[in-house]
Amino acid sequence: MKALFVDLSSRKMEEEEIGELLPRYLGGVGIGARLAFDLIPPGCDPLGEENVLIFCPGSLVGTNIPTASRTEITAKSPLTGLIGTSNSGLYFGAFLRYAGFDCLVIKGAASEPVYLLIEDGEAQIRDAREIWGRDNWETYLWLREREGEKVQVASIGPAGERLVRFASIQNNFFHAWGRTGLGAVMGSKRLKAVAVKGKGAFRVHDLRQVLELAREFTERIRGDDSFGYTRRYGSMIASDPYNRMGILPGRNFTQGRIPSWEETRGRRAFERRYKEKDLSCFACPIACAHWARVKEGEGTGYEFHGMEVTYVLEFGAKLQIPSIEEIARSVELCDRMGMDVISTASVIAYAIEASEKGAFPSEEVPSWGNPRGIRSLIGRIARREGIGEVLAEGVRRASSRFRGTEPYALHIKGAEIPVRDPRGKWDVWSLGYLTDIRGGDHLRARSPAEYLPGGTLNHLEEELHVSEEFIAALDMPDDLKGRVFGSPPQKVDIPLMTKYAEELITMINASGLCLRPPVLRTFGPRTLSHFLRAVWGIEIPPEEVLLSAERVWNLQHLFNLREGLRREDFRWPSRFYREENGTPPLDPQKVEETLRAYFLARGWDPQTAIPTRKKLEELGLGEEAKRWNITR
Amino acid sequence: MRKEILIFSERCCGCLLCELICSATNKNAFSPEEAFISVRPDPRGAYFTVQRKEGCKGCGRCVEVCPTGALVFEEAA
Repeated sequence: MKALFVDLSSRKMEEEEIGELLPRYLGGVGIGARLAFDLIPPGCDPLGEENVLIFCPGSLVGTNIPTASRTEITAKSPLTGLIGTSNSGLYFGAFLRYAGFDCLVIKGAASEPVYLLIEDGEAQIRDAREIWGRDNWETYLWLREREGEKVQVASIGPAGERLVRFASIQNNFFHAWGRTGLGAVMGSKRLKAVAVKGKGAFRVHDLRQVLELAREFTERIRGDDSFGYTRRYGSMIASDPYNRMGILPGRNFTQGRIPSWEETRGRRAFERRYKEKDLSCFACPIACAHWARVKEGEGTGYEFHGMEVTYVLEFGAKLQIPSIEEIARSVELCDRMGMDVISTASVIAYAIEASEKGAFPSEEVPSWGNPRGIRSLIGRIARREGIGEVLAEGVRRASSRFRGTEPYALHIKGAEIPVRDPRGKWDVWSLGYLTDIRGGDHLRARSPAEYLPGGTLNHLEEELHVSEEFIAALDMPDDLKGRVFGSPPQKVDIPLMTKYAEELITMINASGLCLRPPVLRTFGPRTLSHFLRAVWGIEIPPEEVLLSAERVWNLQHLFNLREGLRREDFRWPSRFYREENGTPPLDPQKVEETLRAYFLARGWDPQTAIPTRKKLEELGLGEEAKRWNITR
Repeated sequence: MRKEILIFSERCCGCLLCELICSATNKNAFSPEEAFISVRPDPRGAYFTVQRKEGCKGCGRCVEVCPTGALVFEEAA
């Protein structure tokens, strides 16, 4: 496993063998966490030269193992000040590996705009002054013109250049490393793009074994009940249940249900009026993405890259944009400017609500559901014009500038809260928002037994909605199954499952697989152990794979503690504890009890959220904690 | 008996599983560049041009892994 270290200040490059990190950190997010912990000086300015930006494809990416396509980017986040980490699929990671590198580490900052071209085991720092200021699509087309149709591009738009704290890194045309503001880190380094041309090969340890395992895993994925609907609707499968359950983030989390939601923003509305064909990422037989076109009415002929449920929830519910076409046009602008859809929608929702309450200047703020006004404000945020200057800082910083607006700034640990309202249903997924390593977010704890419309038995237990046969087949340690589900299975223990769900997502993001339901429900430590042996020739038993995932989570947590994360930062905004929304507010005592049980399950002190010495020693992280004085 | 492979590029979803299985089968490594089948994306990654390249012996492994019916054996078409 070879990493390329590029120092943009000195223009020096070095290669380093990093294969020894694989057993303990598993690849992707794990190697990113290790390098970030070692290379990023504690307390540094995330927009200063000292921050380090790490691109690390998952360890299985480049093979034909189904869905192995994804790359993690890690740095200190300019939005939260904690670990910033984001994951995206398509082709970039595979072609970086075919170009000769398994990891790319960017240090320092260039004095003038540059892009990095990686090809045939070599990298060149090239002049990007001509494209500085251009949007992501223009940048991609400019590079494609020069470097050919198979160039893979990670780029920033005007928002990243202007250090918008939630700027994203775009992945070709329509994909992105969205969350935690990594585009601003790239902008601070004056790195407009990384362009990869992968003409080489990936020679795995045991090719026959990889092909056999890939075939078996493909059958398992295809045989899962979720395969058909995931292909058909992608993430839009969940759009309708959100409305029925009253957990939409409507009008900045004040409206859990929206009349005519399913007819205008539901999965069938998308399929009937817009969907054209299926699309996939690299090596993925699920093909959950879609190409889409407005087939009738106003806007006929407008084409876009499918629809994700996050887009309809953020622009359609949170900001009330009433049609899928207008939502797609707003997402397009975020893609071109290079801004995270979730934080963008959240900061605009904050501005609208705060200005309605008279606590925020109203002249430049659009009304709910006005797509043109909303897009105009997106443009001003990307360019930091007018009120865009303060909104570009994210809701936490914006609310500290305008007295009385803090209740409308909905974030956890500085990251804007996406997608779903915890008041409608308390479960593994909601607890995962609170415990997420990157702040308010919905993607780092997903249970393999997840069933959104299912109920909750009490604040510590979800109803069980999977069969005994499903549990028996689940790739999860048997003793853990007993503790999580009971024996015979009768419930899902929320704190215990949240810990496992975080480790499952860590294994997925380390290997570069995708978290869509067919994978989430079939993948686990035993499968990853087999894959790592076949692809890299390393022997790690399943229990050690799981321990490595736990190590990665704890190392990310140590990074956060070193940056000043406190126990009291694990809390929902006051709205969720004080206001009804068709469903009662959260009970703070019950949330605390769940959180306490989670900390105990993690081996962390429930009073301080600091890992116990015993846990750190079990994970082999004792030295790290001692060195940085993060101990109980 | 060798079967003829038919290509329906408009159905291609861009997964490149055909290039991967082809290079693994014929070149003992994963390498889209070296495969005997080529998938060329349009700029937006929406539509693809799929073509067999010189050297393809028609083994049909690509057909077996194609998830969207862009590659099919003639008798099944």
